[in-house]
Amino acid sequence: MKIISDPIDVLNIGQVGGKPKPLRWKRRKEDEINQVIKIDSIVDIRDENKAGIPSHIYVCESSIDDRKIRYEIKLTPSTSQWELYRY
Amino acid sequence: MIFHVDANSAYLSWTAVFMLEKGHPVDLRTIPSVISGNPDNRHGIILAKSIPAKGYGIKTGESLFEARRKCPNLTVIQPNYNLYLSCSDAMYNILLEYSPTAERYSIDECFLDMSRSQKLCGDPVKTAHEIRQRIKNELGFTVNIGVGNNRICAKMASEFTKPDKVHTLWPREIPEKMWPLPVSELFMVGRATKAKLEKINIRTVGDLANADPLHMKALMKSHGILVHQLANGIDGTPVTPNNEVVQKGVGNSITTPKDVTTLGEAWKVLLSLTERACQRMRRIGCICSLVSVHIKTNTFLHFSHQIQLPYYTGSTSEIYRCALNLLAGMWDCTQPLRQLGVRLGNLDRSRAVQLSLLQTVDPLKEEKVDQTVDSIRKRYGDSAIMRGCFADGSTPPIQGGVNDGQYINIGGGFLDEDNF
Repeated sequence: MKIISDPIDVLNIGQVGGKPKPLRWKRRKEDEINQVIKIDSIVDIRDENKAGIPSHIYVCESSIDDRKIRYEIKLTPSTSQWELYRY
Repeated sequence: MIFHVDANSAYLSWTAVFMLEKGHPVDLRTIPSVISGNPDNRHGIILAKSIPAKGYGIKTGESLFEARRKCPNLTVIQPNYNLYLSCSDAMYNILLEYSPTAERYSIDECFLDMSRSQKLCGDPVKTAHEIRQRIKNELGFTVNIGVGNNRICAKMASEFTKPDKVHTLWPREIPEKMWPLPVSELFMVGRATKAKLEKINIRTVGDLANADPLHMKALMKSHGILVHQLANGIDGTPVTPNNEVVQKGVGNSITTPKDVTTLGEAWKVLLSLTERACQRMRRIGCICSLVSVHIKTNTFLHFSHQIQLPYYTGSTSEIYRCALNLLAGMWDCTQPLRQLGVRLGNLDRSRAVQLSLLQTVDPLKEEKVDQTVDSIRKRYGDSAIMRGCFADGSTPPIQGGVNDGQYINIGGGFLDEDNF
């Protein structure tokens, strides 16, 4: 997987005492028709602190065109920004 | 048992990690790259360089113009101080897990007193490797760690070979590891001291260590004794946690985007610097009785004057009036200025003001005005309220430094914020 770090819009739910749980997301590029991707499962969640910026990385799986794809999305709590981190 | 933890090419490697995280395809640490201010604002000085850039002979502190002449395809990145603060904080927080006695010596250097944690942590070299590896894995950048019996040994050990290394400097290793080094490599030996030592044929740390201390004292007074002791690995300075460091002064200076040629311009710059310096001083609950102003001409001549007031004050207007008098005493507008600075010293925390017969304005009234202005700026931002003379927009109403309170506890005994 390669680091992309593209900003995305995420629909998520808050969990009591836990991290937000992402449900669906779409890319933010205006010149493209941005498909809404449903997250089928969250395989793993890990915390990182690269360059001193705390973030939560979600390893997710989605079915796109009948193919199961694994990728990572990142939430930076300090800025409340989501990114398609690695794909 | 002291550790000295030093981030390798701090600004550059922190920027490199940040950019890699943002999907940048190239690691800045592997190509000729530098961190430098904007040359259009006359801040084009190399702040950090990569190891490949070092191979081209690029040095920290030289101008960007010079660096580009040595390496035309140099990658130049602008500094990002908020990022540097995050990285520094994260590194400091990891170190605090190993010992509560940690001193942030600068934004990229920390001293750690492991004496009381040794039983808990075990072998110091193993612990140092663990810290180095944790910082690399968790934060993404590399550090050098020096291990020694005191601060000077730890500091010198961390400088041996870079990057990503742990070195020891025990007393028995000093003749073998430290004495062969050029004397300029010794901590506290700068250009002037080096020149004085070379005049009497002292070229290595070993030469200095074996010199007669009385001779050193005759040559450089107390500094001679100090460097002689450091060359022998003698240093009794304790590691002081930063929340115990007493701030002794507040400084603020700026290199102006273009030369200051008229008195009116200089007054405005001085006022905007004084505003910030006074704001910082009041924020830490201090008042001062020493005001100094320094200037640098466009031919790099440096002048500074200071005044000891017979009373303590925290008033921006009062301090500004003193600064104007100091400026008038050393500058007659014949030589354009490229840098101005204000420094406030002799700080007092009691805030008990001795009223003076010589003061023409009511200090309590001015204090109330300053407090009100500070609270407005704190709530609505620096530009929410400004003096009328800045309304034309030619000079920012507050300038100098990037400090927003977070640097307060970095540094040694005397904090000089304009160094950051």
